[in-house]
Amino acid sequence: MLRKLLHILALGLKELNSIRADPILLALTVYTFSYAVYAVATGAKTEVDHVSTAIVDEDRSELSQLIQQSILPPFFRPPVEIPAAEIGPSMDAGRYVFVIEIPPKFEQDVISMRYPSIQINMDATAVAQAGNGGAYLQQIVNQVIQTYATRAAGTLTTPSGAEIQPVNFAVRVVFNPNLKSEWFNSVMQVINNITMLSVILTGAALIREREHGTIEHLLAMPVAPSEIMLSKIWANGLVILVAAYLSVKLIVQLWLGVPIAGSLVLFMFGAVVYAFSVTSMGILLATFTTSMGQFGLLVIPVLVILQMLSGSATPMETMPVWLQGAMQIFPTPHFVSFSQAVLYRAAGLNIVWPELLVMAIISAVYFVISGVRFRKTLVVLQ
Amino acid sequence: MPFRAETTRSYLGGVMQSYLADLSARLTGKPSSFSLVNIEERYRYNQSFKSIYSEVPSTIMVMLILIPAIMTALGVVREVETGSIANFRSTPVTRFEFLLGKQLPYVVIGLSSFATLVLLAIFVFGVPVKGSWAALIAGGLLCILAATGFGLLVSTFVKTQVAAIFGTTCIALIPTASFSGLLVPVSSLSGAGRAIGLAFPASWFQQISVGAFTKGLGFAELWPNHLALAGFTVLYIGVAALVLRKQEA
Repeated sequence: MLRKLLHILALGLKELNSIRADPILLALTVYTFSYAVYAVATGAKTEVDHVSTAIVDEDRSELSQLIQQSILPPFFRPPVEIPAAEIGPSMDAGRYVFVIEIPPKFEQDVISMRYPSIQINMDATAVAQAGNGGAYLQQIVNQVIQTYATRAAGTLTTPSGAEIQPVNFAVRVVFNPNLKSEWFNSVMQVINNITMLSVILTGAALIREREHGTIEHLLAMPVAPSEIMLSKIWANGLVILVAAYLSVKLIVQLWLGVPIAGSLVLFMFGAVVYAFSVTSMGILLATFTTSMGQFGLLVIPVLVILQMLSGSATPMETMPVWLQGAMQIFPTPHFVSFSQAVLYRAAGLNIVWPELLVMAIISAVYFVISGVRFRKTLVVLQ
Repeated sequence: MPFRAETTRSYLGGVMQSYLADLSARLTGKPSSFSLVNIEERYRYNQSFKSIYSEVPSTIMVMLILIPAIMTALGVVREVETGSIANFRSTPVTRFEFLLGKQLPYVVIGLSSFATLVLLAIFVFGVPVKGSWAALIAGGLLCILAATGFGLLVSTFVKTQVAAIFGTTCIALIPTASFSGLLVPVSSLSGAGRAIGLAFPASWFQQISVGAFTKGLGFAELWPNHLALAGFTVLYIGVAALVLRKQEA
C-alpha cells in the first residue's frame, strides 16, 4: 500500500515537472484564471448596461430634449442624435441597439392630450438587451412625460406619477441586490476554467506519453495503470485547484470586489471532488483518441456542452426536461449548483451534501470506466 | 442568474400594470390608460423576437472560428514535436509555401462544415437566409481563412501540442464567446471588452452571419467586415511567417 502511494507520488512529481517545463502552458493557465476571469466578468454584461442608443428628434421641443437627457448611463449610453434617414443604415451596421423616434408636434400633442405616438426601434437580434432595455426605455419615457404634463398643466389634478399608481410594487432582490452580473459571471467563469483545464491537461498528459512513446517506459516499470492515472489526476488537479483558489481569492474577491457569502473551505472541498471527476473524464476522453488532434476536436464539443447546459450560462429549469435529466450524468451541473449555494447563499454542509455525494459517485464511476478503458488501450499497445 | 431576475422583474411589473389598468377600467366603466402617449416598440429584423434567429447564425460563427483554429493549431507544432520539421528546414520550401500548404486542407474541411452548418440552420432550425447569399459565403470563406491563419500563428509560437490546443482554446474562446456580439452587441461593450472584441475576427464575422441570415443585408452594408477578415488573415499569416523564420535560424 505504502509502495503504491510512493509510486503515485513519484509519478505525480514527474508530471509536475513536465508541466513546469512548458512555460507557455503555465502562462496560459495564469492568464485564464486571472485576467480572463476579470475580462469576462466585467466586459460581457447581460444586464442592461451602457446599451448604445440614438434619437431622431423631429419635434425639437423642451419635452423631446427632456426625454433625450433622461436616457442616462449606467443603463444606456447617452443617445446620439441622428437624422431620420440614418435609422436604417446605422441599425444595419449594428451601431445602435435602440433608436427612439420623436415625431413632429409631439409636445403639443401631449399637452392637448391627443395621445401621440413615439417609436422605439430595437435591434431584436440583440435579444437580451432589446427585451429588458426596451422595458426600461418605456418606463423612462413615460415618467418624463408624466412629470412634464403635470408641470405644464400647473395643477395636481393631471395624472402624476404618484397619483396614478394605486399600488406600490416593491421588489426585493435577495443574494445579489443590484443584480450585478459580474457577481455571477466571475465565479461561473472560474468553474468553467476548472472544467476546461482539468479535461485538457489530464487528457493531453496521457496522449503526450503515448505520442512520444514514453508510455512504454512506464509499462516496463513495475507500476499499475491505476497508479499512472492517479498520479496524473493528483498532479494536474493540484495545479488547477491552487490556481482556482487564488483566482477566487485574488481576482473575484479582491479585484472585482464580489462578496462571498459562504465558506471558501467548503467550496474548495467540493472543488477537490469535482476536479477528481473532470480529470477522470479527461483520461476517459483521451482513451478514445490516438492523437492530440483527435483529442482536441473531441474535447471542444464536450466542453461546449458542459459550459452551455450546466446551469452556469442559462438556468437548468429553462431546458427541456429530458435534457435536464441527461445532464445529470455529468458532474458539472452538480458542481455549479453546489457552488452557487455555497458561495452566494452561504449554504452549509447540511444543505449541499446531496450534491457532494452525487459528485463523489460520478467521480468513482468515471474513474472506474476510464480505468477499464485505459487498461484496454495498454493491452493493445503491448 | 441576474439576467433572469431582471427579466422576471420587468414581466412582473408589466403584469401588475396591465392588471391595474384592467381593474380600473372595470370599476370605473371607462377605458383607462395611465399613459399620455402611445409607445410603439418596433422589433427590427426579428419581429417575433425569438432568440433562435440570432442564436443560430451566432453559433455558426462560434463553430467557424473555434474548430478550424484548433485543427490548424496542431499543424506546425506537431512537426516540431516529432522532429519532422527538419524536412521543411532542409528543403527549398519557402515559408509561405509551407504555411499555406498547412492551411489549405483545413480551409477545405472548414468550408464543408460551413456548408453543413448553413444547411442545418435552414432545414433543421428553420432560420432562412434573408440577405445576400454571396455575402454570407464570401464571409464564411474569409472567416475560415482568418481562423485557420490564427491557428497557424499559435502553432508557430508554442512548443508543445498541449499548449497549442489549450492556447488556441483559451485565447480564442473569450473574444468569441464574450466579446463577439454573441451575448452583448459590440456597440454596447465598454473599454477593454470592446477592444478585445474588435481585435479578433469573431465579432466581424458575427455581423456578417447575423446580417446575412436575419437582418437581410448584403455586400453594400457588410463589405467593411469582409475587408477586416481579409486583413486578419494577411496579418496572422504574415506574423506566422516571420516567427517561423526565426526558429529556422
